[in-house]
Amino acid sequence: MTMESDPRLTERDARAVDAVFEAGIDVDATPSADVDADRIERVRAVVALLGHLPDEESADDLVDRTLGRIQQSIDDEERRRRLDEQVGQLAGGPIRTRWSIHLRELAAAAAVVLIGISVIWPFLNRDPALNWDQGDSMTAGMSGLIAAPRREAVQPVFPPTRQNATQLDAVMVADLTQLLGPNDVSFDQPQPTMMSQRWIDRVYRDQNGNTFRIRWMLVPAGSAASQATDSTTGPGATTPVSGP
Amino acid sequence: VTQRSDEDLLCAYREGDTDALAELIRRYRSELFNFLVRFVGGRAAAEDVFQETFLQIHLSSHTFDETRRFKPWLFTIAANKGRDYLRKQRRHAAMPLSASVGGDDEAGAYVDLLEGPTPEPGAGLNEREVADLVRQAIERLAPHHREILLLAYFQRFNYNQIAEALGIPLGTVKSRLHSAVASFRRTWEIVEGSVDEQGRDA
Repeated sequence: MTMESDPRLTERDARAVDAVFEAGIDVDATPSADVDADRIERVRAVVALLGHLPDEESADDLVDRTLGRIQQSIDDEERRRRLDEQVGQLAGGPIRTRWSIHLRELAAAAAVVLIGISVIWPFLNRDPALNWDQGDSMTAGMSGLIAAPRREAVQPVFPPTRQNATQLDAVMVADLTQLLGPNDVSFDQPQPTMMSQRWIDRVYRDQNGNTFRIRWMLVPAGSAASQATDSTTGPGATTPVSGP
Repeated sequence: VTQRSDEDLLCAYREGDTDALAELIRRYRSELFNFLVRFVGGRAAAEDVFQETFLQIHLSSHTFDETRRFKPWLFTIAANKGRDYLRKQRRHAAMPLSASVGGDDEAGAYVDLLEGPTPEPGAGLNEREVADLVRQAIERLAPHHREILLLAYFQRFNYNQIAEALGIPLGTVKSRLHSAVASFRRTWEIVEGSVDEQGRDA
């Protein structure tokens, strides 16, 4: 239902209605230059029809029933408040403060926390080794490559000092067959890694007490040196250092 | 003995004087009940809405602005409750909304009050029959026309009080009351039998 669709009075009738109601229904409105007497009389005749509606007598007990309904509302509210308090005490102490906490609000909060945990859990529960694989340190990446099944035992000693991209070159030119892997030696005690601008030394000791050094040459990609495959000085060469 | 004002009684109720609310209910029992009977169209419904209205007064008493008048506030709440009731009824009613004058089928038609005979109860009708016709004519009005006509005529609200009670601007009060009078004239002619539903002479 729109107001635009309502029936409308002509401008002169509208002025007559205003004159009648502004003067008061019980008072005779005074005709003026804008409002003629005929229209005022017609308006009064229309609205006077309403006067035929008799007054209705309300039921005798209407006041009492109204007060009873209000009292019932007060009692219901009091009951709800007491129930909330009892639930709060059962839950381990008074949880109602000036901002009253209802059981359903607690349940809603718990549900939100559970949903949050279920979303975060996969990230918290990831294999730490994956973090090494995706870390920003190429040193860490190399350590993982050497002893993949025992990644947790082989940690980089020094924090990364070079950009990944730079150190990636060294790995790319290495002969992978020369890399020590878990099938060759079981490394128990990783030693501090020595690092310079040109190479990275890493010393390990096996179960028999033999010490090995792995030297990673740092060769810019595309240089002639990067093609070197010398097993003793080339990238990834393994050199015994000392016996037990 | 000086009678306490409505506003004083409500403030006293807010401060714990439960008798004050009882006094307010007694004071408006007849006036509000009659407004509601005419607005919602039945005694049982009017009693229900009457109780709902004062329950809302109880729940909202702390929001009442002491500088305002109580009566327009009371009728604001009553009109809202009455409208809610009519809305619920209409959801279940078999009669379509367009059956009431002031609905979409009216298309903003102009009504000239000087056209046709002066509206008056037909000869041979007793007072009860006239009252029935008037009641039917009111029930055919759209709720927003019905409430403004009742407030203006029976409650003797002036334009400013109507604006306050209905929460509408003064200009809207005027245009809505003009439409209400035009619609009532039309519905009276229909129920009285001088014109048919389409406004043609019967």
